[in-house]
Amino acid sequence: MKRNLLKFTAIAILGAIITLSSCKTDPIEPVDKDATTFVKDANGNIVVTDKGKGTGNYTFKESEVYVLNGLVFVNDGQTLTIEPGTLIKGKPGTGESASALVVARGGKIMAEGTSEKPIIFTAEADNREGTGVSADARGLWGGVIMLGKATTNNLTTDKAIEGISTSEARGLYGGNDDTDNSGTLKYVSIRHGGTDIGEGNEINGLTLGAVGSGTTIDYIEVIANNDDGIEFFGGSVFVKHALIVKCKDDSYDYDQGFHGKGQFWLTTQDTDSDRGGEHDGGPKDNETGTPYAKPEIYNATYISVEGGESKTFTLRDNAGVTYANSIFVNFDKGVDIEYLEDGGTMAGCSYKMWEDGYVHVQNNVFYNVAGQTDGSNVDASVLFKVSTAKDAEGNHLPCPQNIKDAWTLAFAGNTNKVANPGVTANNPVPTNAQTDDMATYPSGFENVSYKGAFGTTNWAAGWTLTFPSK
Amino acid sequence: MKQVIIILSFFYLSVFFVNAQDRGTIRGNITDKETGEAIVGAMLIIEETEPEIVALTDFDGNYSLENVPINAKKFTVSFLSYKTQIIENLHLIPGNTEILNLILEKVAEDIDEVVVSAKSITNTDAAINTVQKNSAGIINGVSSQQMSKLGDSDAASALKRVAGISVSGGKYVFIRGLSDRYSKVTLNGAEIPGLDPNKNTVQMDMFPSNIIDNIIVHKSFTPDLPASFTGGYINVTTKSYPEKFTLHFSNSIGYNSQANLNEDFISYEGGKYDALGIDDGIRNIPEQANDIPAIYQNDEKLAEISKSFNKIMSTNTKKSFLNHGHSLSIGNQIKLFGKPFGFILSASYDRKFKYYDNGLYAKYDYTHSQNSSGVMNLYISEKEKKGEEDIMLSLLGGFSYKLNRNNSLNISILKNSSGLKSARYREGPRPEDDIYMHEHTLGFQERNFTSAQFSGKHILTNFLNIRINWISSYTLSKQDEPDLRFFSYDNTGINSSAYAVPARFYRFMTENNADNKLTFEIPVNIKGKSAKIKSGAAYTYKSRNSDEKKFDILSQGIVFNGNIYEYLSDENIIKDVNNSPKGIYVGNDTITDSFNSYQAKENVIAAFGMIDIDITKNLKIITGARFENNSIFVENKVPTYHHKYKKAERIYPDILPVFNTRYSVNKNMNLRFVYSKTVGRPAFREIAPYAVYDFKEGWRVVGNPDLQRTLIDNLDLRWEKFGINGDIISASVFYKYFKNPIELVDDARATNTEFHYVNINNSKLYGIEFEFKQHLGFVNLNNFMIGSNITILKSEVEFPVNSNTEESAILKRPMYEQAPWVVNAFLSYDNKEVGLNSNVSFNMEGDKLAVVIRGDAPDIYKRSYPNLKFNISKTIGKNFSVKFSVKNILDKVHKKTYDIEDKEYIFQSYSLGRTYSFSVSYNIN
Repeated sequence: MKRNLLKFTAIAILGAIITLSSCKTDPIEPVDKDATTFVKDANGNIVVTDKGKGTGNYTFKESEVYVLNGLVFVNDGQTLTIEPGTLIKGKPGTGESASALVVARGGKIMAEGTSEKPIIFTAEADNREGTGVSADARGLWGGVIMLGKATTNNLTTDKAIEGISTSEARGLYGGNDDTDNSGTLKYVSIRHGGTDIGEGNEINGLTLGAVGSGTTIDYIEVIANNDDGIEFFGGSVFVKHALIVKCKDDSYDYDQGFHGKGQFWLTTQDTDSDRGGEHDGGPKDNETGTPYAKPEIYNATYISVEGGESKTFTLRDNAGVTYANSIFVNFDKGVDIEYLEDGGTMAGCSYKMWEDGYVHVQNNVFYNVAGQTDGSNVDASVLFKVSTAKDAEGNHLPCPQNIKDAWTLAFAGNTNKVANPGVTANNPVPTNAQTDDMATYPSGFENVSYKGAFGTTNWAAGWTLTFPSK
Repeated sequence: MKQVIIILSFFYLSVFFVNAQDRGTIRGNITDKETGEAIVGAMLIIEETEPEIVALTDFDGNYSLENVPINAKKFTVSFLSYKTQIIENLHLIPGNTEILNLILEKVAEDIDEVVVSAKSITNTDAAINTVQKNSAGIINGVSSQQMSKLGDSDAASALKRVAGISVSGGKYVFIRGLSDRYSKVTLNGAEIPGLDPNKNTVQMDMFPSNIIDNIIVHKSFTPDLPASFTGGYINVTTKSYPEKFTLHFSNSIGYNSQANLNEDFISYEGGKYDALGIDDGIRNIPEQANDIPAIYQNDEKLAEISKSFNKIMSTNTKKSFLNHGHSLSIGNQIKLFGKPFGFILSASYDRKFKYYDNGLYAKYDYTHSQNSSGVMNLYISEKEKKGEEDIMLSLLGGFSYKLNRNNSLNISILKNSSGLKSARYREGPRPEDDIYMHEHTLGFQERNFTSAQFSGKHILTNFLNIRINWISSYTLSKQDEPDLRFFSYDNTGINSSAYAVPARFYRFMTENNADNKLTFEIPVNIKGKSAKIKSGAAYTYKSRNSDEKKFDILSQGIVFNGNIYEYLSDENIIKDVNNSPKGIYVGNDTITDSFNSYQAKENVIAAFGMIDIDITKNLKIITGARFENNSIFVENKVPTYHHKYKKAERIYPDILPVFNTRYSVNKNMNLRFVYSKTVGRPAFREIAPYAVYDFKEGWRVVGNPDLQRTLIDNLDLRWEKFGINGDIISASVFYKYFKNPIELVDDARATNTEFHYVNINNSKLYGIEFEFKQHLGFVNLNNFMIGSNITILKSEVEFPVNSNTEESAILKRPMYEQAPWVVNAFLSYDNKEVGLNSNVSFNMEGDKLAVVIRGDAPDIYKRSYPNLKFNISKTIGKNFSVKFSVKNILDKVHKKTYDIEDKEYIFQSYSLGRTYSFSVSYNIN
């Protein structure tokens, strides 16, 4: 009897095991990636919703108004063409439902407007004339993000653009092709963007992640963004004719080893704007990684607001730069260069980069920066300042006087001067043209004979929200 | 109110049944001296009465001699092959119940009868040791007596006394250095839900000590236990009904040098019932907020919704009260329809304050260069103040009905709820952005669970003497975190690109658990060797619903001037100024809405068979296997196209064998060897097919539906020697090998911190444990006892520096939150004659990994902290007792620092002050 019971128990258990083990173990259901939809809404606008497959090879027509609903990607291998004069709007929304146009790595955008027919990206509530929302309204939608295959100095070749999880492969950028071509942006105005995309990040007006030199970006306006105007994450792209107006954070920002070029860059800031330029060399976990950040920027005009608290630009975390033939006006503070002692190696600081010949701030004109208006009596120590790390109480660590002095001397030593070029936010074309002591242009740059972004005409007039009339 | 009436009616009912008799009752249980097991069917006879009074022990060895005339002087206990005992010198009191627990010894050669005086039978707290000595696996335990002696207020603090256990955050138990994934907690043997949204663990502070009878920690697996543990399996047993009428009423007050009666205590204006730990609705999401228009869509409606949110987003100061606690419990055993019916009813309320203004919080960036070691650059450095008010309410009802000697039914109902109101303020510089930060955080957390358990025990005496035990349990639990508020600003205003804008966050989580278990135990005789065959099945089911919402306070065209009240005032709410909206408004942050709202289900079907056989007189072998089929399912409520999978659904079937031997060197000394295979399963969040943003910590956590469960090989060797009255010395070594362990790794591809759950190849853990408890009678310190336990552990996890690059270097580090050593010690004085008890206890553990930082930057360790506690209690008269205790006597600084040698870089530090408490209780036992 007992033995039978034993047997019975054993068989019952075995039976249960066999039955249960044969359950299906194919557990995971992939998300069906559906085709992107283009659906007309009640206002006759075409609402674009990406369900995983990107825009495909598609053309945004001038005759229509497009509304981006969430993140809309141009996937790898696809080309999105935008006709001149097209109006593209972004729906409101934050986080993963923020609306933005993302040109993924391997995708291409052909957005070639003209000075008569610019391509406009703006908030859903806005209109073509720019009167739908207040001119200074920020953060109403996302922005334009371009991701490419050029190099960065990140620890990993692939990097996820801020605000997008690594789970979305189309948010990755970086590669080994510095001549990569993500397409063309020409006569494009990006307005009122910068919505929160998560984790204290907002979408920049124009985000350029590892965008290569094969890409054309010329005549770009970013106005009233809630974050930076343009932010470069590595890459080698040449951006020409850009104006960044009244953005909340920094006007021009780069990090992760940006080594492209810039010419004719204007910014006009608001009282609450941050730096004219925030320039980091490498990410925190790989600051001295290569390629070094050493972009060449010629003919910039950076105009801040009296009463603001902005710095002209900051060089830190191993950033290098060339700023030449440029004009800086009305900034509360001068140019900051980071100095870190680190046991004498000075590793990861831009001061070291300057000593090593990667920082050239030369042949520029400053006016009313850190209170300096008298060209014959310049206190260069407030214009070219060394910044050290801070201790736990928030006090700057001391910096040797000779270190400070050497950098201050570089102001005059590199043919920078204090003079009034006669530029204002309303008219950035100098009334007192600065044409002396010009730095020589490297190849690829337009060989103009004036400092700043403008000679005698305003190239931004007529196609931007900032300068609507010719 | 209803509950009060029920309690009172039981009270009177019991008194009624007890009174008006000139007869008494004798109750107790009978166990085998050697094995400690209950003796079933032993006979007790009082011969001097007419007629004789006879009782038999039931399947738990319990007996009850009823209606015994008070002049009865002795009785006899006998059972086949045991020495007969004669209990003399009985002294019965009319209407009272005398408790006599007896131990019978197997027949030796010549003596077959012993005479024992009833006065010398004492109820020792050695019961746990007896269980420990005779158990099949390796176990440790804490009894309610020990808890009350050492002044432990809940299960979490009591468990700290057990060898190899440490408690994190006052809630989470780590057994042998292994975290929540590798431990399991049950209530009376049935599974209950954890109240943590991210972990599979039960929060041990949810069990106040006045409802606990004992806590047993199983450190080795036997097939009759759930297999999903490795460090340990903890079973909390609630108080069972007493043998006779008991009443316990206790009141305590406490004073902490920092937290109580402090004018500067920080808090915030909350709801009317905050002192009960219940939100009165003031923290609800306003109804209109389900559909918030974007700015420029419908600004009037937006303004109206924005106005509807509560305007309090900053801390204030308010004088705190004393800590205080109250508890009442009554129990009795009465006759109901002629059968014994036992019950216990218990209620308790406890309120505690915690406060510090000495906190520091700092973060550093580790600036790494390719050719040199990195540098610590200050990112933020803040001073911190924090106030917490913690409320715990608990109700327990336990009922047992004995149909006859061989069948009984039990019902246990437990309802616990806890509320935690917290306020925090931080301020300090953030150099990189050249700003000075101010941060207010207001929180409220409500946790509660209601558990109903129905169980039965049966012996089929006429069919193989099969013992049948079953339990069916259902638990509903909730963890809500309504209106967690953050408001950060700096000296220049609110800088949305440097840190998160002001926000409010809501989480509502409910979980249902059902657990059904049935076991059969059959005594058999195999070739003259006595053995037990145990077999059974179990089905557990759990479902969870979690919803989260977050709202940001956004602004357009206005500047924050440093005054939070003014900023949030109605005048500042968005309105039309020259045809464009200006002011503050609320936006629905979809980061949390779409991804932290999910539904999940899990079930485990299990069956096991095991045999427990005495190969020789001294060698016992327990072997068998358990089969568990686990299926787990998680689905995000809002599908997303940015992820690979829509939902996660996994089935893990496993067969888990055990081989367990116990060699009794002599009566009081055992050697044990155990091998078992157990399983560690992923939590819902870990296999979830999407990323969630943990916005308290400020990072993203990405789930992984491809996760494998972890299989663990466990080896244990233990030597143990038992003395009298609970004295013990033991030493153990153990080794665990984890295949496919789940670890959280930082993905270097992410711009902002993003953790992924991945299976790494393997990890190892090994350690030794040493424990002793010794009465000091042998050095003439009669009432003193000393005890200590020490665990030393080493663990090693290997994982790639970057989870997503193949060529990545391999890093080795200890397991997360694993302390390399844990030490407990106590010295106690217990004089039963004068009712004086006093003790000093000490508890400390080694530095443990608290935060893993990306790449080769230094990780953050929680530094070891010594805890010293003193208690003294005295009984006054027959029914009163008073107790005084001092906690945290050393009052050192709690610290988390970076793992870097040249200098101490503090990540977080604070100290909490000493707590003095005093209690008076009234007891009828």
